[in-house]
Amino acid sequence: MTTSSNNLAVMKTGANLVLSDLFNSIKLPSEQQKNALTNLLEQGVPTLRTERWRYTTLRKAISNQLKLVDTTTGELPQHPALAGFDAEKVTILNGQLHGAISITGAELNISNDVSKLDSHKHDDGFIDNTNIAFVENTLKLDISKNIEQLIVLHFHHTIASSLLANRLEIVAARNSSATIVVLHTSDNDLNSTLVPVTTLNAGANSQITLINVQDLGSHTFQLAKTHAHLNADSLFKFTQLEIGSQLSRHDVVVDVLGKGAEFVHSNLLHGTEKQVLDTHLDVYHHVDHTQSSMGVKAVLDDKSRGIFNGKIYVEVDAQQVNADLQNNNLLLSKFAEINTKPELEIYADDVKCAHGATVGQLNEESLFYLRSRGLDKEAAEKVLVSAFSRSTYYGLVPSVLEEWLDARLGFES
Amino acid sequence: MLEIKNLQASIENNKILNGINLSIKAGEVHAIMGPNGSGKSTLASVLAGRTEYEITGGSVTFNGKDLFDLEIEERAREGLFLAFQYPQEIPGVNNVYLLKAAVNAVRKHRGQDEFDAYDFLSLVKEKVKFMEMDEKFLHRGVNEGFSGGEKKRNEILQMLMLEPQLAVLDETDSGLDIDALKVVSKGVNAMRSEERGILMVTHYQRLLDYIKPDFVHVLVNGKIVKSGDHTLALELEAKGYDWLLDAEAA
Amino acid sequence: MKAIEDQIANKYKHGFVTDIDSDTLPPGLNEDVIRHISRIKNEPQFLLDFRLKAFAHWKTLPKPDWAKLNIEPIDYQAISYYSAPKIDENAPKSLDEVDPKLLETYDKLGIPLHERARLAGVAVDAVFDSVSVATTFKDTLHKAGVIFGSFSEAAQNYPELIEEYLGTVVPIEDNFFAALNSAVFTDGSFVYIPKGVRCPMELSTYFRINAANTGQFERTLIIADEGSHVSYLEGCTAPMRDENQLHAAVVELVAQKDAEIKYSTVQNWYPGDENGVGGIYNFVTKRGDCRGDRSKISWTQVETGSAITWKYPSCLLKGDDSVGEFYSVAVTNNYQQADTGTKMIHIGKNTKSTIIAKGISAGKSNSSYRGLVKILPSAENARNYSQCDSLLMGSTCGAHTFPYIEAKNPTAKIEHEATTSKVSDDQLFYCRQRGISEEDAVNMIVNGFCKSVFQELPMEFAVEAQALLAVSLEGAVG
Repeated sequence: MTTSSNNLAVMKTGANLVLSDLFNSIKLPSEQQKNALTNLLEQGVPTLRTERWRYTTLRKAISNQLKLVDTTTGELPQHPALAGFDAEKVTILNGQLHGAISITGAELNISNDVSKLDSHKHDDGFIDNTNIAFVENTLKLDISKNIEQLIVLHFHHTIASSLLANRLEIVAARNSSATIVVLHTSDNDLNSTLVPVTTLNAGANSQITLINVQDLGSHTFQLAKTHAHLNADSLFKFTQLEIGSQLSRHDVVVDVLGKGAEFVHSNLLHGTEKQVLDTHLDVYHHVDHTQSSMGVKAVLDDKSRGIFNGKIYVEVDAQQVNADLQNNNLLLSKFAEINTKPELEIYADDVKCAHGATVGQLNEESLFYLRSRGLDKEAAEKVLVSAFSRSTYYGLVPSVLEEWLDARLGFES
Repeated sequence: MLEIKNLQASIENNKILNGINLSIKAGEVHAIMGPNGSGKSTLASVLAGRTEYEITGGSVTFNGKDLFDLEIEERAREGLFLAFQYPQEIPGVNNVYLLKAAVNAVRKHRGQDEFDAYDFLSLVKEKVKFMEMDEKFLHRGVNEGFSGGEKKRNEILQMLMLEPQLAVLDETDSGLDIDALKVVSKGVNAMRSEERGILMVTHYQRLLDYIKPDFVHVLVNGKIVKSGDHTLALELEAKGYDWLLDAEAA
Repeated sequence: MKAIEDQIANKYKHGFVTDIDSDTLPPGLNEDVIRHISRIKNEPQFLLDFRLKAFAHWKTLPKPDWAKLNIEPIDYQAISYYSAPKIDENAPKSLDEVDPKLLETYDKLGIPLHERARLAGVAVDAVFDSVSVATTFKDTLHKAGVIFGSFSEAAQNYPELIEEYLGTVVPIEDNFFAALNSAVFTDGSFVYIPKGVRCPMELSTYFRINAANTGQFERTLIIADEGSHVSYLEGCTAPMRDENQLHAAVVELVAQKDAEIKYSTVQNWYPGDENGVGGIYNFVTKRGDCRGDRSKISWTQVETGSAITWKYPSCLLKGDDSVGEFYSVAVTNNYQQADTGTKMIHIGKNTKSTIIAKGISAGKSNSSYRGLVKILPSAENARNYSQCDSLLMGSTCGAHTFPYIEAKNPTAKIEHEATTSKVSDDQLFYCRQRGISEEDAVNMIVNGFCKSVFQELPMEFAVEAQALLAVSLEGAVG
């Protein structure tokens, strides 16, 4: 496995070296893994000089203390978020699958094959390549029909100072539908780096709702990617809630490939203490008559930092596209910070694309109204902050999850 | 003035108009009624020159000229006015500016001098008052942020200024409350004269209470299936369209 | 809607070369060239030192590489860094001394100096290639205490002002082209408005690139002292050339306490032909420093020319309650590329900024808005409102928006909106049904789209801008 690294000596500094050394500890890497590492090292680990990473440093997330997971023990977690669900739960503990799904029409399998979705060179490929280079098993979730029951997957991690790459590949057949809840947690003091990648191939006329809750321990790093391909008339609703972790970078890439396909996105970056929450959202409209609507909200307290980069890309000849991206941010502390960039890249003329971003205080009039009804200023502010955050998940997630989120975020329901 | 002979039109290979015959003389007011999807608005659009419709047969002459030989703006300058069902918003373009450009384009075509700014403005203000509109509408963007009723009043204001030979009103009454309907009707009635023809396209009989037509035609499946005087409208109000649909099917 | 693509593309109206002898330096750049420029201009020592320092720094910089701009590599050694019209040893002191051919050139551009100046009450400082050739209304301005003239003159007469302010807004290290300009700038305009003075007239400069293969490196410095007010207009045209010509100007504005500067630009440099051959490379660094409390700097620009435009007029809002504004219309057609926008850096308390950017793309052109709104922790109660709208004409052009927002103070309020739209068939149909021709309808709609920017321009400029827009977009709508 030293073949690829020899001629890449230039890039073998710092974080690049950490990753190539880590890779050397894999006993029998597949060709696919080797290729991924080669790509990874050719491009190098991004630095603050890399445009897509200008506000987020990987210095701490990729440190030389990292090792690969070599044990599969650990206690199965009982996470309160899932306590209320009567749905079947599948746990993936330190990368190992526990439990199974016995729902007709939904099949969960483990596979060694990594079927990477074509990225169309959307991003630097860093998270993808890292995931593929280090992933051990891929979870394949096949949805073949309309499924009423919830599918709940819980990824939990307990091994300190480790790098773990999980991969979930969802394939939704033509005319199928499902709601999938994915929860990512880790032990609170766990200083590991997780690289989870989720892919979705939404078949024609399928309807997939994906709810991704990231509530990792406050020392854990996450470098995540969610990549969806939407075929004709499919509908993908993606609710992304970033609550935990020390640093969470989540790249969301959506390729809208078939006429009539629609993407609906809701995202909450809820930062406290010194958290860094970074979402890069890229929506590519490749064909005509497609839609997307995205709402991203950041509520940042203490010394937390939020980063949001949202891009709507409309391909040549992709006429009659309707795309809307709204990003609203609240800074609750003197030391909190938001960096946001809602981009438009448009190559077709008959489209309706709009984006908006706001950074601001709470609505003065609402505040006044609540106070005139007898709430003190602090209470009124709390009500408005919770209303702002809640709008990212109310009505979009199962009610038991709503209740847990309210409690987790300290909102009175 | 307007002679429609066996007019047939389709859009994306769907036949919408299936041979319409209609003759409108100066001084006459015609109403075309019909259920949704019968082709009423298509007829108005085809007359004004919308290009998404394909004329597959028949002919239309306007004051002796072949209408289909004329560009959209040439038809307008010849005196054909369409009051739109959904008037366009044109942000940033002053309402009064569009009005002036339009009036002068028509006057130039007729060999008349362009209005000077003062004369034009006093005339507009007079008409604005007549339409019970606020003068501030003149200086807003064309239909920008106007309510449905305001847009329709604005259409009639344009008609009053342009003084067309033939006014085609496409569902002008839809979405209007009674007060707005009265004002709009007042505007249309003020236009009635011996030299002018009016063609109203409407789904409801309501408008005809205020603007009494000389002729009423019922359009079903792209064809005029029945014509009569204004009492036909009352009959339709009482009986609906179904009896005509049945007759058509039979 | 009937395609009017086949309409004859409008030829650049200002494409002609004035045939006068130029005193031009051979191409190439080294310390000797810089010393030579400085010697010709009889500059004080501090200016030569400034130039040499900038040159030393420039040599260490990598050549820029921007993602959205498709730039052929520029050979900086192939450019001539000085070109002065060959005239008597001394620069002309009045219009009478100016080469009649030069005046003729201005006539062709539609700015007959004396008439226009008198009629409009505009003082025109015309920069022909690199030397300021004529300044009108100097006396009137002098009485008000306003200093307005060429940069070279100011370097002779007011070296202490230049030394105090030059490079304090755009430091030589700022960027590649700012460093290059600082090393080789030849001339430009200098304005000083003393305390409490409201400049009695609009000040105006026309820049024009004439000699082949000469880069033009103007340096403009405008200082508005406490409580003063000035409105400055800059117009630019260039003759038709097949080689791409480099233009890398630096404009520095300083507004002291309670001062206000309004800077308006209409840029219609040669954009290249319909096949993308030729045209100006326009890499300009423009920055305003709201140094004092309650100061205000307002940039308004209409950009229709140049093959490539790279330009971000910016405001440093240092003073409390200071205000920055940016109003921009950028039009690209054929193979033009424009990457323009602004930076609003909020430093002082209660600072406010407004950004209105309108991009119109036609043909095979690409237009990008790139902007930064930055609220530093010190900027309590900062406010920003941004609106970026793009209008696309035809299916072979592109429009891009890259608004960076960085907020580090919880009291900040920022609003950003952006839309992309086209001139819709329905809008055109509506106008034509009212008797207006298709071309007039397009112009009407485009001007309506740009209205919120045009109304910020001084009256006569607004009329010129509308005319320019119509010319730039002729044959663009299909």
